[in-house]
Amino acid sequence: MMIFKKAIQRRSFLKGAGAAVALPFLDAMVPALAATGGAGQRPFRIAYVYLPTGRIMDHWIPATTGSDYKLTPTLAPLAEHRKEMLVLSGLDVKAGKGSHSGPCASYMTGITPSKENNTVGISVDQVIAKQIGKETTLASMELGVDPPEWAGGAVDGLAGYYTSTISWMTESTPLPRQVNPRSVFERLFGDTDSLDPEALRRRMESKSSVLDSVSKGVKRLMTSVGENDRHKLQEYFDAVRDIERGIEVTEAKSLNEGFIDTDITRPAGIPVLFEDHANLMFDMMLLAYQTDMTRMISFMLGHEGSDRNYLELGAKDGHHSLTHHKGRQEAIDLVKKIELHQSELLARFISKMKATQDGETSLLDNTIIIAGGAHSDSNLHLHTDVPTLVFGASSKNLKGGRHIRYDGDPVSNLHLAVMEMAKVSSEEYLSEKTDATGVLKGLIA
Amino acid sequence: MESLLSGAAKTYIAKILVLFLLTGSGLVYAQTSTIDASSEASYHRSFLNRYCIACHNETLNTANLMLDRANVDDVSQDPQLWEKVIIKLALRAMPQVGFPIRPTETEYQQMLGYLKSELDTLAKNKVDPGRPTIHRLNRTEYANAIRDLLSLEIDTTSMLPPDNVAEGFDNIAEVLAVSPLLMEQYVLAASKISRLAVGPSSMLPSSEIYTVSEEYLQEQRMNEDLPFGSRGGIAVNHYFPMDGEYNIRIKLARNGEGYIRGMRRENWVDVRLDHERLDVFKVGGEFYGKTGPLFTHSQNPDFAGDADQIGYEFSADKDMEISFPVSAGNHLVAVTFMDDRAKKTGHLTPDLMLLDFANYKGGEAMLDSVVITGPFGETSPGMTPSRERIFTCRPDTGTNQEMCARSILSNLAHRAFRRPVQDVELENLMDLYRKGEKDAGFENGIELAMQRILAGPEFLFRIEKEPANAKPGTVYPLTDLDLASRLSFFLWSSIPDAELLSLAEKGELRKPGILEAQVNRMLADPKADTFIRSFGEQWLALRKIDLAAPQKAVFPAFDGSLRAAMKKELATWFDYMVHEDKSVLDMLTADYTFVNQRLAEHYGIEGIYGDNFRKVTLDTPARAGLLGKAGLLMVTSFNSRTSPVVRGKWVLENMLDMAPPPPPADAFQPELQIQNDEGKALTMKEAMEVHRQNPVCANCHKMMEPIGLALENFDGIGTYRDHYEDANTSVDSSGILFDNAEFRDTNEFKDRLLKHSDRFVHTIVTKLMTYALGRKLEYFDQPVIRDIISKSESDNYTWSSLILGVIESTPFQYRRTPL
Repeated sequence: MMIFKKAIQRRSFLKGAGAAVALPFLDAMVPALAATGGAGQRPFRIAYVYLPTGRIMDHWIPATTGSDYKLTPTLAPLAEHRKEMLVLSGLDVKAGKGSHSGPCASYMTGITPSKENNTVGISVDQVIAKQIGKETTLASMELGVDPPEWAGGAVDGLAGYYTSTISWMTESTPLPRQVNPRSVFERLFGDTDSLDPEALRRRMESKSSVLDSVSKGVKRLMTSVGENDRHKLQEYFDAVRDIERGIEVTEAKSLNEGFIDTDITRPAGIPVLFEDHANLMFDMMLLAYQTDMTRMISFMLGHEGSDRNYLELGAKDGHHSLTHHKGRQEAIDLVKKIELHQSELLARFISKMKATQDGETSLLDNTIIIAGGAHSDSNLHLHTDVPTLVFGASSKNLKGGRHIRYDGDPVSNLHLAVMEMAKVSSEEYLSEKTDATGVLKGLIA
Repeated sequence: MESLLSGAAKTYIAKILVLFLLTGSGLVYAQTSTIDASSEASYHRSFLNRYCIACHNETLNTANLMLDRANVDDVSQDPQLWEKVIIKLALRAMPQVGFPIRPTETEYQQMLGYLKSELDTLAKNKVDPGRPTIHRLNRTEYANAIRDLLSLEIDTTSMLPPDNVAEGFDNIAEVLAVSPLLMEQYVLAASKISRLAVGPSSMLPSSEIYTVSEEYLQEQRMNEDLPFGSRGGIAVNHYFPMDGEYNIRIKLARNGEGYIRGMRRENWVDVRLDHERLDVFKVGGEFYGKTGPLFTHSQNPDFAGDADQIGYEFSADKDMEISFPVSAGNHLVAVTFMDDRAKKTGHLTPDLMLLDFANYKGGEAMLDSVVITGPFGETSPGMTPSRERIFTCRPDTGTNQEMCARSILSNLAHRAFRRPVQDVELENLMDLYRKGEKDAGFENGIELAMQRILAGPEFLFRIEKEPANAKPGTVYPLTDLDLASRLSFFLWSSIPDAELLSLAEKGELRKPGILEAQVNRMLADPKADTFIRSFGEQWLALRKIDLAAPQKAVFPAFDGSLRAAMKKELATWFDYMVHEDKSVLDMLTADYTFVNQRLAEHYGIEGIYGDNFRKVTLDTPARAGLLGKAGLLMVTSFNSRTSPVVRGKWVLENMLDMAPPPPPADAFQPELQIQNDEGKALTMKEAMEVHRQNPVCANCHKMMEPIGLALENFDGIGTYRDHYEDANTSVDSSGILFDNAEFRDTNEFKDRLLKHSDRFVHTIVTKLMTYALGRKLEYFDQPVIRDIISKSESDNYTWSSLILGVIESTPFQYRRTPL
């Protein structure tokens, strides 16, 4: 059962109309699915925040390791989270090949894409989603800010979607990313137009009956089509079953009714300004964790190799074009500005996670956030010593406040560590093609 | 170099070196000038021996082709291989340029004639129409089907993710997958659409935001929906879900630091609903102290301005909202600036883009976004076209209610499923109706059943009926109903209308003359615009025009208006040719196009004023035909320069159906060298020559690059040029085409290309068929294509004759069971 906070009404004197009309100050409608329980009993959440198109590394990696390292300029906005943050350096996307698309596809899969078969491998978020996703309405969410159309044509013989997603449900199913915060909100909480609990209950029930009837229909069709055509309908049938499962989970949880305190409201659409857009997507992540709609979210702050224009930062050329600076100081400075901007957005998200109560601790304590990307120096398309930050997870004894340098270990080993914390079997991740060599050491202390 | 090349590449280079040795030695070839007819081997075998097997033999296996082993005297052993050979010979692209000997024209024709007639005969005796798999409606088809089924015009593209693309189109059944996310979005869309179509009995206000791309400087009238004498702004066709009160909130564009642009002077913002003025707002030109500098750089604030004035410049648009009553349905909302400035003769070049525009607060005020919120106050569902369409009857008593619901739902399902509805299906729908009716009345019941229709597999999938118990590989004609669906999804990207459906149900679709009459009717219908948009945009890469990002530093002349004009030109041009039923060959030669003022200036055409597109005759031959269109020239360039490789590849792939293979795995892609070792700037041609020195790449690149270099007279946004700006050198667009023909410039190149117009027609039919069938074409489709083309010859390859040819072909009308 979902309870919604009453919409906050705003009265606004309208100059043109000359009359007072009540306006909703964006309807603050948030279902109350807050579970109870103290630390340890709280669900563990995982977030991957993808930092696209490399970093200027001498502004990123601290000079010394250990706990008394000095923050570099691009990390400076994260100073207030120093205690909860691990800076990891010396990690490689070992399976990465070529520029942008290859390393991007390998980033969460640990596997080199096969151009002949158009396959990669299942990604770490999907391994996790398969195992812990059964407990939530949505098994996982894949978010982004760049529209898929931006990915364009093939690079290095790999189709556009190799740069627009990092999530692979199977070796041949790349998952599209949602970029419209409004549709994320509606996916989480429904496109509801009523605050009446009875109406909401009926709506949920209606959805179940519609899906039930749809299942009957597809079963009927499956008996009448040839063997070859059946797999398409099977795909559809499985997807319907998955939604039905989500509804069952939601209904089972409705015992824990309550209100959630939030200032996040239903977004109207995609804001023009990157900053607003990214912040809204981070808000949606927070909301999804807070209401336990899902525990596995990956969010790309841009396609790998995205040529987004940051006009608001004074950059006239796209990000990707600028990263091919060939040593031009002016271009390097702009790239640094963009990277600094992204650090600031990340810092805001971490602050919000920290400030959000989750049982007796904060949401950040029960969440591991990995922020990183598949390129280090994007000018040279290097996928070694890639930028990697880890936040939170104090409930799993992750010890922040340090810079740890590794000796070319694969990023996949970090994924293994994440799976271990999430109590998820890594068997499916570790195919014979994987570049993983063992759980990354040193995170817990 | 050693370390940069993979093992595979090294082997490849070794092969090439062997090839050079062989051809260099001259030992392989007899010194006679024609094929030796006295030899034991057949003529065709001799042809291969003489011209092909030096490279395509068992040892070298160049391009995986072993013509020494293939049996040319019995093509039935490997028709696929011989279809490949036909492509290369038809284009005279083999033997490659530089090979010491070439067949005579007679020899080419003789060899081609032999192969084609053998393969065509073979195909006649063994028909294979192929087997498109179950086809999920793609996003465009879904939106159109909703429009045609429910008379509902809303933007459904934001409800569904874009579809995967294969073979250059987004309607290829094989890759139209269903993921859990997609399914959720279908269910959500079905619920939203049903509610909007039926008309909600009540709803909470919600907001829709419409933003203006910051690429527009908003100095001109933006489009034909905006009033004359206006500049900038936006016009949106908004769907108002209920009768009620709505609110429009206007936000002006700000610079990087939050200052509203253009606040030094008064601006008048005109707000209209269906062309009628609702209100005018005055904004700007007020002073509450001293204003700061025009470039508001926060790092260097000598004087930022008085606080009150800054406050005003940050929030002058805060009261720009208006509320008004409106009836349910679509209405045109226009928000624009009244243009009180002296009329300018030309458009303004966006010089500002060169300056520090992000920190500039002067210039003209611009619109950032319009937010429409509602409904408020007394609301009612109203009478929308959707409601009229759906509620064909109204219940008056309890008993009538069921009958009325049954009639409404069977009508809807019939259209949505594109076939008669089975009893069990209708009963399932009625079950849902009853449930919904019990909860909240008659309309709610209809809405619930409609959700089921729209989310259901019968609507979302095109499933073609198969004969019961047919043996594997059986070829069977489609039912008339399935044929009607193929037709309407091909020409309308939507469900069949009542007329088409009824002809199919009566079994009359295949009667003499009926099919052709239907095709003509359908092409004349405005719904065929989708064919232009969907097929044309994808084939001509128009969708990429929206995504191109020319660097402002290199192309200061580029802005949003030019982008829009480029797209509109190609779309209008293509639309004209299809609707006027021109020969497809006009695409190569047409000396007319469509321009507005912005594009005319880009093309150097004088005397064109205003934003309307009109037909003009081109007096520069270089602009004639597809290869003179700025939009195409831009999307085949990089964002800072032209790319002869990309342009050449595009032409080969999309005009001659000879896609070069992708570069070998891990081929090192060198940065283009723009200077020689002494630091002297290289022309594009010189740079390409350096770049081509890598033998791994040269084989294919020497086919692509001369084509691209022939178009070097057009820069990265399609501006004509004789000279390079930076190198102060004239453009050299001469070269040698893949068929060994030399050309001196762009115009001669285009003449040479015309010699391959047969391949161009072949390419168009290939694309048409791929799009029509929603599957990848196979070698066994090639004889069909040749047949369509030869039948269309007497019509001089008009669009309608080729489209009809595709529709009447076996692959379109038949299907086979799995092998």
